[in-house]
Amino acid sequence: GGGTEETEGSTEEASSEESSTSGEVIDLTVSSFMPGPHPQHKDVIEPFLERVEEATDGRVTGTMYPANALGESDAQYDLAVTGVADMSMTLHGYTPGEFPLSSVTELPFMGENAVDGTRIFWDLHEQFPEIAEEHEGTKIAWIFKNDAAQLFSVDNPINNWEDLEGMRIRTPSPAGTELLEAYGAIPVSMPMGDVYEAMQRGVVDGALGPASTITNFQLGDVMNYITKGDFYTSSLMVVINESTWNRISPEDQEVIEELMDREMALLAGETYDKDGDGGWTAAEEAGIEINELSDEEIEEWAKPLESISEEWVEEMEGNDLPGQAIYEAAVESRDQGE
Amino acid sequence: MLQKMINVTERVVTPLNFVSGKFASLLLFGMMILTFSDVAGRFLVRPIQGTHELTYLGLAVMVFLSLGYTQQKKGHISVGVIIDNLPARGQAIINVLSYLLMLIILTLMLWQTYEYAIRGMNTVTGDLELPVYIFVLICVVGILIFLLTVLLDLLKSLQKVVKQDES
Amino acid sequence: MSPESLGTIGIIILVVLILLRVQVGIALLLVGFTGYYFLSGPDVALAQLGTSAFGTASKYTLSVMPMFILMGMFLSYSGLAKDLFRSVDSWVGHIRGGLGMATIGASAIFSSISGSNNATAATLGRVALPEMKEYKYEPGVSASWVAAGGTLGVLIPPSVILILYGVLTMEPVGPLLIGGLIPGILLALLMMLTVYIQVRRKPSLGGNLQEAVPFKDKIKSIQKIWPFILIFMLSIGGIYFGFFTPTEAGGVGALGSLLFAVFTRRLSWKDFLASLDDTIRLTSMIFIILIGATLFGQFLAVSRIPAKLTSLVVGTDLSAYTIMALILLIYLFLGLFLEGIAILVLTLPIVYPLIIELGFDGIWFGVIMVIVFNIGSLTPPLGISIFVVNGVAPEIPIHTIFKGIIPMVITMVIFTIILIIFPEIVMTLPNLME
Ligand code: NA
Ligand code: NA
Repeated sequence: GGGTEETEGSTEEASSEESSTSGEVIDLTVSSFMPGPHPQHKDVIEPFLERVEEATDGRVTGTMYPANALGESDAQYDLAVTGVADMSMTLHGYTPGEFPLSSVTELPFMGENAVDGTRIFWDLHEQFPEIAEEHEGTKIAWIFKNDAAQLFSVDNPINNWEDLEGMRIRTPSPAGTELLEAYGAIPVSMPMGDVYEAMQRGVVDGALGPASTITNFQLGDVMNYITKGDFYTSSLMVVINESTWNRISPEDQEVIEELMDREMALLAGETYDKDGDGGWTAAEEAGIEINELSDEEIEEWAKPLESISEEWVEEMEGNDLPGQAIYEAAVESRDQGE
Repeated sequence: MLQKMINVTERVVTPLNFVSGKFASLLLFGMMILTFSDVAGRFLVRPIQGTHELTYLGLAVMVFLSLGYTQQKKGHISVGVIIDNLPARGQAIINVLSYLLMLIILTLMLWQTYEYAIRGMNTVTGDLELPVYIFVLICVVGILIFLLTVLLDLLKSLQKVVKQDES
Repeated sequence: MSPESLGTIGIIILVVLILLRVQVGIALLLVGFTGYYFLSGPDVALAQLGTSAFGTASKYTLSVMPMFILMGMFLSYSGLAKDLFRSVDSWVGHIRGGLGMATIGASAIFSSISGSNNATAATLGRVALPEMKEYKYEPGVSASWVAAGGTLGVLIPPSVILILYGVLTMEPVGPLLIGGLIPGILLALLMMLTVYIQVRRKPSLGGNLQEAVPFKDKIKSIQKIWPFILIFMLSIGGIYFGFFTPTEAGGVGALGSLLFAVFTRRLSWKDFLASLDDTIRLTSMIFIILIGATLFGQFLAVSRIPAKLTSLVVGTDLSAYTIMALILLIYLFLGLFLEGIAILVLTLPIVYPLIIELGFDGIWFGVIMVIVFNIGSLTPPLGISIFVVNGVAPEIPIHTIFKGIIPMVITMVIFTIILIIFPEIVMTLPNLME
C-alpha cells in the first residue's frame, strides 16, 4: 500500500508536524467497496484512524480509498492479502469458499440484529483460533455483522415463501444462496454496489439485503416492497496486511491493538443497527410497502430452512473442520444473549 | 538463424491462435444463446440459474483467448500520427522497442495472473459453486498465446532492422 | 518525490508512449504498473497487475459490448446497409443534394445497430460513394458526408464509447445509451440541413438530380428494412422500458438479427463465422485497453492527482460554465491528435470527479463528450473517420475530404453549444426512465 514516505516535502498534510520528529510515517492505504460517505467510514473507520494517529503520535496514519477505487468488491480481501491495501473492509461472502467456518454466523436466524450477531461472532473468534486462521495473510482488526437481511422486491410483494418460486433474487453470500434455493428462488450473486442498477434494470426481481442499505445505497428508489423477516445477518471484516502490521513498532502495535478489540466490533455493529433504523424510516417515507412477518409466519418461513444448519455442519465435518463444535458454541452464545 | 526462429515460432503461434480464436467465437455464440434462453425462460418458464456468473466468466475467457489472435490480425489500437511518417527502418526500430516493452509487461501479467489464480484456489462462484481459478488459468493460457504472438512480431521487426543494415 | 509529481510524470510518459505507437492498452499497463512500482513498491505493483487483469474482464456489465457488436456484425454482413440506403434515397433522392441527405439518413439508421463510427462510415462508404460518383457529386465533399454521417454511430444507441464511459465512471449504462438518442436524431437532421445548404450555396458540389420515385416503390423499399426496425425497437425499447438489461437487449438483438439474416438467406455460413470473428477481435481490442485503464486509474487514484486537481479547480473563482468550456476546449485539442477511447481512459479519472463536483450531470457530460470526440475524429492531423472513408475509397485524396468537412464541423460545434444551453435535449429520455 501507500506504505513508507520520507518526511521531507510537505505532502503529508495531516501529520507534518509529528512526522518531522519521528522519522518515518506509515500511512495506511485503507480500501473499501462502500460509497464514500458510508457510516462505516464516517462513524467507524475514520474516527478509528484519527485515534490511531493520536495514540501513535502521528507515526501511523491512514488514507481512505472507498467505492472500489483500488479494486473490485470481490478483490477487496485479496487487496489486503497482497498489500495493495494495508487495510481493507469487505464482506466474507464476496469470496465464497474462503471463509467456511466464519459463515456459521450467517446461518438463518443466528442473531437478530447487528450487535447481537457481532457479539456471537466475536465470542467464536475468541474461542476458536480457526476463525482467525481463515483470514490468512492478514491480521483481523475487527469482524462484525450488519443488520438483519430482509427481502426486497421490485414489482411483486412477497407474502409467502412460495411467492419466491422462480424469482431472481440478489444474494450477497453462500448463506443467502442456500436460503433462496430452499425457497425455490433463483439466486444471483453480486456485491451490494451493483444492486441498485440490477434492480432498476431488471437484472434481478429483488434482493436480499439489510435495511441499512436503503439509505446507504439509495435502494429506496428502486424497490416497492419489503418482506421483513430478519432472516440472517451477513458478516464483515476489517483486516490489515500482515507485513504492514509487522512494520509497525511493537509499542505502537500494542496501542493500536487496544483500539481494535471487541468494543470496536460492537461499535461497528451498533452503527449498522442505527443505520437499519434510518433505513426503515426512509422506506416508510418512500412509500415502500413493508410486510412484517408475524411469529407464526416466521415459523412457516423457517420450515424449509431447517436442514440448512445440519447440512452446514456435515459439510464442515466432511472437510475436517470443527463444524459441530463451532455450531454448538454459536447456538450457546446466541441463547445466552436472550 | 533469425529466419529459422521466425519459422519455428510461426509454426507454433499460428495454429494456437487459430484454435483459441475459434474457441472464443464459440464462447461468444454460447453467451448469446445463454442470454437469450435466460430472457426467454424468464418470460415463459423460469430463468436459468447461474446465467449472471456464466456470462462474466465466459466474457473473461473469451477476451483473453482472443488477445493473441487479435494481435496476429493487427487489431489492437495504436496511434501512428508521428511514427507513421518515419522511414521504414526507423519504424522497425521503434517497433522492436515497443514489442520488447510489451513482452516485459505481458510476462509480468502472465506470472501475476497465475499467482492470482493460485491465491484464490478456494474461491467458488456464488450461484453454481464453480471454482474460479480454473477460469483464471484458462485466461493465463490466453496471455501466454498473446505473448508468443508478440514474440513473433518482435522477431519479424528485428529481421527488418537487420535486413536493411545489410542492404 | 511526492505522489502527485509521480502521477504527473506518469501522465506525460503515457502520452509519449502512445505517440511512439505503443498500443494504447499496453501503454496504460506499463505506466500503471511502473507508477505503482515507484509509489508502493514491487510487491504491490505486481499483485495489482494480476488482480486487475482478470478482475476487469470478468464484469457482467461489460458483456453488453460483445453482444451489441455482434448484433451489428450480423446485420452489416447481411447486406442491410444497401437496403437502408436505397430506402432513404427513394424518399429524399429527388431533392437537391438528395444523395448526400440519403447518406446521412442511412448512416443515422445504420448507427443504431453498429455502435461504432468506423463500422458505420466503412459500410455506408462502400454503398453510397459509388452512387454519388455516378450522379457527379464532388468526390471530396461526398466522402466528407459519409465521414460525418458515420460519427452518428457512437451517438445514436448503442454506442461502444458511451458504454465505456459508463463503465469507467459507474454511470448507469442504460440511461447513458438512451441519452444519445434525441441528440443523435437532431444532429442527423442538422447534418442533412447542412448538406442542403452546402448544395444550394454551391450547386457545383451536388451532382445531377435523380428522378422522383413513385410512392408505391417508396413503401416497397421500407418493407425490405422493417425487420431491422423491429429488432432495433425490441432491443433499445427493451432497455428503455426496463424489460431487459443492456446485455440482454444485446443478446436478444444479436440472436434476432441472426435469425432474420438466416431466414431471409442473407447470411452465408462464411459471413456468420466472419461476424463472430470480427466481434471477438473488436472486443479483445477494447478490453486490453480497459484492463490497462483500470490499472492506470488505480495508480492515478493513489497518486492523489484527481483529488488534488478537483479541489484546486473547485477552489478557483471561475464559474462552472467557464471551467466546462475550458475542459471541452482541451478535449477538442486532444481530439486533434488522439483517438476517442484513448482520450476517454486518459482523462476520465481526473475530469469526471471534477464535472460532478461542479454540479453537472454525468450522463449529459458523457453525451457532450462523445460529440466533441466526433469533431476530433473529423479533423486533421488525426481524423480517424476520414481515414476510414479514405480506406474505402483510396482514390479520393485525404486533403479534399478534410476541406469538404469544414461545414459539418461548424454544424457540430453549434450543436454542442445548443446542448450546453439546453441540457434537457439530452436528459429528457433518461429522466423519463426513472
Ligand atoms: Na450506434
Ligand atoms: Na482529429
